[in-house]
Amino acid sequence: MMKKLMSVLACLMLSAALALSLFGCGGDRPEITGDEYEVNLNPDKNAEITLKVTSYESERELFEDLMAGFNKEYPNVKLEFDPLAGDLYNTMMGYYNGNNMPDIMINQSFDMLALDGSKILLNLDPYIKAEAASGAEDAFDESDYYDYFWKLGQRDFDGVQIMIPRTSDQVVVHVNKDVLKAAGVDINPETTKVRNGWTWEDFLEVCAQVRAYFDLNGVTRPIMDAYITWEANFNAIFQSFGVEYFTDGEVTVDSQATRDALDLIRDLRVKGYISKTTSSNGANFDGGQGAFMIHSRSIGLTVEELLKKDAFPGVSEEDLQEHYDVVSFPLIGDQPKIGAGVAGYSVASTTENRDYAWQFVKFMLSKEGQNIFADNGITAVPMRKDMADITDETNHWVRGYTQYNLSAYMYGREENYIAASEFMLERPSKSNDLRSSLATMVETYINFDGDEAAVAERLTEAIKTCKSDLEYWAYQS
Amino acid sequence: MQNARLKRKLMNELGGYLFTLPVLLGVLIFTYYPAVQSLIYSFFEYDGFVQMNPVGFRNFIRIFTLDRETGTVFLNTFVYAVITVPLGLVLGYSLALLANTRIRGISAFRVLFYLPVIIPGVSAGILWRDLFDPTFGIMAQIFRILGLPEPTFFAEASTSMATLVWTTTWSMGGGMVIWLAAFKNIPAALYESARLDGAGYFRQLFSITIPLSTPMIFYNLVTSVIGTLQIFSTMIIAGGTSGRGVDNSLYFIAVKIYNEAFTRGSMGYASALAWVLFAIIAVLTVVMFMSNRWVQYSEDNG
Repeated sequence: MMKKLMSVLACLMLSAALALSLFGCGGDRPEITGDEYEVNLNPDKNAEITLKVTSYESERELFEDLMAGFNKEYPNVKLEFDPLAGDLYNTMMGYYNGNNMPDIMINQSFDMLALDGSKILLNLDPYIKAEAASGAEDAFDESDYYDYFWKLGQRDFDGVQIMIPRTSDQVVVHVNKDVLKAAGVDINPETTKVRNGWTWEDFLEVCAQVRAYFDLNGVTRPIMDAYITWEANFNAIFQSFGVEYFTDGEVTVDSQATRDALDLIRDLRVKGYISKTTSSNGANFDGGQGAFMIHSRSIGLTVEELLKKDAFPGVSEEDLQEHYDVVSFPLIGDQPKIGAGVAGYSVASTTENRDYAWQFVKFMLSKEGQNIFADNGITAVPMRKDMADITDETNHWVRGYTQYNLSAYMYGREENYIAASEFMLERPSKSNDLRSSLATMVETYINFDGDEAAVAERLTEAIKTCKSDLEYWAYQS
Repeated sequence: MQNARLKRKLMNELGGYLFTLPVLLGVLIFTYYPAVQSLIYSFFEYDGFVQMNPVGFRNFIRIFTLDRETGTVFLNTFVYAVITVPLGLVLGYSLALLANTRIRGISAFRVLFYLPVIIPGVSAGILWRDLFDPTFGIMAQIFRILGLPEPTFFAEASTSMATLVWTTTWSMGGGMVIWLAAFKNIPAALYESARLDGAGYFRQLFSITIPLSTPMIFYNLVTSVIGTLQIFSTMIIAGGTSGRGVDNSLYFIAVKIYNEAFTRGSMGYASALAWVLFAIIAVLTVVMFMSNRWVQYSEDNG
């Protein structure tokens, strides 16, 4: 009898699991707003609502300040800040299925493309068009922003707006002047080669001097932290050589241009300028030991890091410029490119407060909003073109840093040198795999040691594998 | 009459059922519910959000026909299991035998052997990454001092797996504890009789210790096979390359399941992969149970 009862109980448990699962598959999930919807550019200013924002924990205070600014116009809107604890895609998947979506979320290019397929990002074009049509004095105007970077927030980088870029980030070379000086490199501002617009040849010349100085003093570490498997960096080099990853639906990565670009990168490793990508032994730029760091990190954040790690013992923040500065990424060949990208915010297509969410992101992009970003340590170049003046301290991103070469962060914009990682558009949903295929090619070739024949064989093999991977991820998987 | 007896029996056992209820509910909600749900997902093209289209067995067919990573991840996982399971059993058992000797300070050795097991995986991963740095790591320097060829460790596909297997010896102490417990359960009288009969250490080992610890060997074998086939090493994650190793040399099934579900947005396909892995583990477990005649459950057995 008891056996029978236990069997019934076990059956009931499994049935309950099945029923729960079936219920879960079609359960209570938030409603998605499609591409067409009604907009209200003048929502009730006294409405009592809460906007839930998901972003990094480090941005909690930023959002509190942004909300304080926003509250001047919408005094009863409250902020519920939700710190992002893991990958955005994963987190949003959990939130969507748990019917717990935020109204606004942090985003960046790769996540934006991946999440776009899930339909949870609101198409902001109806608001942008309505603003343009309103003719109001304070209406939102796309032309106020850097066009190239603005488009990086669009579906396929040239479609509907699904992310509002918050800053326009560009790769620069961070320079430790003390190391250069010790290595005998001319750092006189009038005569130095280490300046905006310097060429790759100038760069290599300086690298050779620093390496020789390191060798003489028994320093085995590489001379720079180059983040070479970061797509913003390797892609700029490939683009400078004119590499075409895809042409008319075919993978065309196997070319002389690719070989030349890879050789250029590997040369940096062989000569001891950068480390193997698998090595944990970097140049330690932040610790004051490396000569260069190639990254888009802002001056503000880098200064903070250098001071925190006591990179220049005894040097105060006021005097740091004598030891540290930035210059533009070295120009390669006659069609040079410089890596760029954006981070920004998206409005969830599930929000019930979309009119307020729009007003909030619009406030973020106002001059006041952009200054709040800078006041909270995000001192990258703002999205607004009218905030580019690096001598005007009403632009807070330059405040306290005007002695630095801030123009490096905007170098080449007029000359069309900026290159984002557009290869991912060949198949946005597989952008991470496309990126990984290219990074693997770089990694497997530049880390390799061997005689000339073996190196040539490895180069061919690395490109062949990459071609096959790109074909698979772009067209077959 | 019968009903009254059943009622009395139920009342007597009610406390027991109440105590097991939280566990039952936990198993139901956190194990069976997601398991059944993933089985349902495996028949859908599902991105984890809105898109959910029924595709029949297409996800399962894709695993074995279209997906070019399948071969790599299954091969890597099985190679890893085939090497580490026997290696782990032999080394762990040997370690337990050593730790079972009566010498001064053996407790300290037991603690030291077990200590690595309680170090978090990510911390161990960072540690191993630095130790096996091909240029500046301590291991590379030892290679150079010994005049051995320049090592590549995790930097080359050809040496990654061997290096990973090497690192697994780190956690042998986990199995050691279970075996030590098994040794303690072997009646001392058996050893005493054996010694009176003139049996030496190895005779006692092969005739008493090993036969009577076969239940634990079997337990460790089954759990090791299951564990290694499900390897999702935080150590590999900490080592970079998105948990796949250079040229996919450390790309295991569980890592692929994670990638498919959470970075490629293919929840349905990931669920299908998980069920294929489950089926393989289930078959292997059944085979192990069917061939367990070598396990001696008591001193009179077999």
